[in-house]
Amino acid sequence: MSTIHVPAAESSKAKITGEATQLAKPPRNAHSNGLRKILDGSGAIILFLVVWEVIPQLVLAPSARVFLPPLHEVLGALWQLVASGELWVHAQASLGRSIAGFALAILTGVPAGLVIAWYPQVKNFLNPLLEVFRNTAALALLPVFTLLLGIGETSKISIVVFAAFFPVLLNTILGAQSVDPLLIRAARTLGLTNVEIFAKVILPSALPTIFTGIRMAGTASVLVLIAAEMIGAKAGLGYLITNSQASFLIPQMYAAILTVSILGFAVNAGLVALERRFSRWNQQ
Amino acid sequence: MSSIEIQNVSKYFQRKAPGTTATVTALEEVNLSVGHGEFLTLVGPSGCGKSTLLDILAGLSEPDAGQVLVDGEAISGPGLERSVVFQQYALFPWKTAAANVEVGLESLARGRRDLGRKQRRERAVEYLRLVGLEGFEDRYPSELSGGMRQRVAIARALAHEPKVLLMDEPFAALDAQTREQLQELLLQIWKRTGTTIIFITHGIEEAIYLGQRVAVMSGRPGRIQRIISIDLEHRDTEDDVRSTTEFGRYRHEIWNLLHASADSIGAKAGQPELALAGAAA
Repeated sequence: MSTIHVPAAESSKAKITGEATQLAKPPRNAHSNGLRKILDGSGAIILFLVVWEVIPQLVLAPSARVFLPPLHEVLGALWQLVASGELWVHAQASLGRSIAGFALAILTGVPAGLVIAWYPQVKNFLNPLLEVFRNTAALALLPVFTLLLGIGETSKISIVVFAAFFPVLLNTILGAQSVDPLLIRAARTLGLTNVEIFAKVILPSALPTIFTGIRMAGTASVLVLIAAEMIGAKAGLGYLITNSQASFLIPQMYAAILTVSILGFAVNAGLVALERRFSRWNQQ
Repeated sequence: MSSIEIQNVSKYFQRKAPGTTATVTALEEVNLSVGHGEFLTLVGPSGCGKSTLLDILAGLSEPDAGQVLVDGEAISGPGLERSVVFQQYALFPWKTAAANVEVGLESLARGRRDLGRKQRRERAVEYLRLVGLEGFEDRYPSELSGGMRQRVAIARALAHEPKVLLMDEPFAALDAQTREQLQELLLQIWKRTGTTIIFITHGIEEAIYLGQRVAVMSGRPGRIQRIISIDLEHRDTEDDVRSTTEFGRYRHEIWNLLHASADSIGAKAGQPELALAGAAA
């Protein structure tokens, strides 16, 4: 309101200079801040990519260069894979298997974990066996899966289920057991039935711990699947890697590896975002 | 509003020590009747079994002998006509204040058509306003202070309009000033709703200030030692009723009762330290 009493010319002048200084400063700041943020967040990655590009060209002998092509050749191969649609075919095969296995592991692991946690006797009985299974590397069982289920989709999805199931199951048990007993007492006085206590008290309070298990399962399912595809498959990113190597298409092999690591990174980032959204109350 | 009859209630616990099992009597032959709309406070030393008694009233545990009648009917298990406010709030941390208040309403709405989502929300907002938390409906418990959390818990206990409100040292974890504010609030709510209240505390002054009658418990085994009717004639006119002489007289009387029973525990057990350790466990 005080501007009303200031002579018009003067006030507008003050306004303009004010705006000018405001305009002059922030963008420069924002620009350097943005650059710094990018460097802080991914400086190491950028450095790695630069080294990848430079070392093969300047340091390696041409014969060795064949086995470690510079980044631009790999990106070129990646682009060709994308353009021909070949990458999509393989990525689709891998994604389909890992999503199916991962989903099956969650759909069975979470309810099983809740039930096991609800009955302490069952838990005490099963726990030693669960520990043995959990500590058995899933890939060690790949021959067994192949023998029993063949080399088709079933055996690959099964091994993903196996790898993803135990982190989900064990974290669900852990989460369900760490529920504050007072909350269950309160729920009972508020008229909740046993089923409702399960769904409305035990599950939500176990959710942050369950999500840690789901995230571990996500990483495990991608990992195990790629390995399984490398051993025996007709499609999939793991198959693309070994097949490219066998066909001596080295840049294409690196392009497939790069895709796998981007995929793993994306899966983890997506699950972290989901976790944050579901446990907003736990962020304080 | 409802009456409660506690008839010959006893409760025993097995205490396991290596090699032996001892039976500890937590409650022995407790008899108490609470009238319609009465505000009764239950005071006793820690470990005297008052929380055990409240658990039995809430239906969270069963007495080994005797029974509890609400309006002449024996209780079995928890029920919506009896609400509990716990010392540690017991709010669901993943639910907002309003959603917490709605939990009991959701149980109440089962099999009813007149309590839809919208009505439940309205009722929750109304009860949050009753406890002075207008505008905090969408806050999570972690965003609220201890006093505000206990207000939410009180609103949650009242929203489905129980006949009896059971409170287990609800203000013990709060600072003195917040505690006084909430005592004041509780009295206002009680006068407005007429709910029968059983309030457990170890604070003598809190018991006298809130209760129409104070039941004094003795420990080991826990039993009702005496029931004292509180008649503070200046309660509504006096600003600081706690400093009046009549208040002091009640305080002294109950203090004597509690100390006499504490002395007798020591004399009877011969090992007062052990006895207290057992009671705490």
